[in-house]
Amino acid sequence: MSVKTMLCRCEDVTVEDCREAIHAGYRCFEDLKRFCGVGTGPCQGKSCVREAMKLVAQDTGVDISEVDVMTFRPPVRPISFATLAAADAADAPSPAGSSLEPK
Amino acid sequence: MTEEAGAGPNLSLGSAGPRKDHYHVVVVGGGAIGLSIAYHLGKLGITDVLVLDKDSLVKGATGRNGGGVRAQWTSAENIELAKRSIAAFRHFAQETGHNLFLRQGGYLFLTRAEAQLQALRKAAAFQNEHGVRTKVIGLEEAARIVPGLNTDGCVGATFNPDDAVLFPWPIVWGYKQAAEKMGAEVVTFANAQAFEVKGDRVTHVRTNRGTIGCDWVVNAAGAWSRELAHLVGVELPVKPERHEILVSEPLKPFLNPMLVDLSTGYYINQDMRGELVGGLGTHSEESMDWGSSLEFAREFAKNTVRLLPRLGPVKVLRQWAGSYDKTPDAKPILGIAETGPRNLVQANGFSGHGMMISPMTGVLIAQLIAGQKTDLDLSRYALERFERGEIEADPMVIG
Repeated sequence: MSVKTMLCRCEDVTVEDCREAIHAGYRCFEDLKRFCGVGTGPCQGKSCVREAMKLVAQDTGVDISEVDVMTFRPPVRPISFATLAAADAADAPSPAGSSLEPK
Repeated sequence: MTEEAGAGPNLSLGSAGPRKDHYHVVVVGGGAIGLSIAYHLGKLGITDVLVLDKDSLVKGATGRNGGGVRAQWTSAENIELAKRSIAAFRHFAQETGHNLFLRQGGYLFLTRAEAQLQALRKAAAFQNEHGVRTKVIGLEEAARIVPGLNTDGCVGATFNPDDAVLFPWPIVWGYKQAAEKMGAEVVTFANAQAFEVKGDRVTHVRTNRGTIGCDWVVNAAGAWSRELAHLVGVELPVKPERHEILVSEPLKPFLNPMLVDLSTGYYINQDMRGELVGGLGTHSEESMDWGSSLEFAREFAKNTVRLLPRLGPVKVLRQWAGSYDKTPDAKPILGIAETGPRNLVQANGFSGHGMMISPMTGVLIAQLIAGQKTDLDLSRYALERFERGEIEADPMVIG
């Protein structure tokens, strides 16, 4: 993996960009995401999160199991305004039931 | 990791700990407000400053808001803070080296009620007196400013061309790095758990990363500011109010202003990455639950296809929630509470517009701590206004 390797294709973030951010002190995944945008594009991190976490682990010297995972948020797949607007309220789970975030 | 945890799973992933055990100023809260205060203190020559954040940065309201920056308020207090802050945002990149992707495309407020249109006319005149260029406009003009806008059911609109949208995250990185360059320290995963008080002064802030001595403490803890102040018996009428928001896939630029429908508190803007970002004002409740609801997504989508029918096929990418630190009059609490320690400064209660007034708030609090005359009279922002009953709510809160 060269430094010019694209890490997050949606947001144009390279391995080098991520490494620079980690070395500048953005040492957890949530920081990295907010500093260089990795994981915030149309794929919502599905193709880049694990690679970015590996980089954090490598460059900070911690085990990957200790690296924080980004919060995955709804919807699981992109869904159009038209579909959402037409959805029947009866089909809608309660707000708590639809939450993917820790309480 | 839960979103409300005071410390992350692994401190080694956060910043280094405090380098010293005493600082002239300790700021609790590393959001736009706390970091703006640190930055502006530095500009006044006060660089012995420590900023503490309980989590990693950009996780609270600064990282969760819709990016709107506007001077269209109905109170002098909010207008004056916002107007000066917009001017400061225009120079943010020169000052800090970070691009906010600021676009002054205006804010367009639509109303569906004649009585509200009358109120907006008065508000526009009031804003004009404060040097804000708000105009009351007809629906044809509104549709020219927002291509594809369906104005059925609307009766009028106001528009201030100087209002703007920006990407809020770099505010944090810009103020943080500029403040650090001047000597300030920013420590993450550092939860302020208690204050040690001697006489009428806070002498130390106890955190999970050590006890820190201080000459001044600033409570810039946003939605957590009420509990922080409560530690020393200062009771703030600040409630964390839950608000949801979502973002779409990126589109070619077409929407220049922030569009607001005052009947529902609906807002939508297109950020400089091309994504549509927006929220609704109908689901606010006192809660620190940041879970997302399908109910919100549906209602937002209904409003979107009603106002901008051609956006029907556009896809939602992600939704999330955050907290407004809401005061009864939607104006912030700035300054030293009469009932509290004399060196504890409040900078909270921003009611959903803290990010947009963070530059000027930083200027004022820095001036207060430096013992200078403040650019705006802080007594209008004092906690004591609630006891005196001098409350005139600013009704222009949306989202």
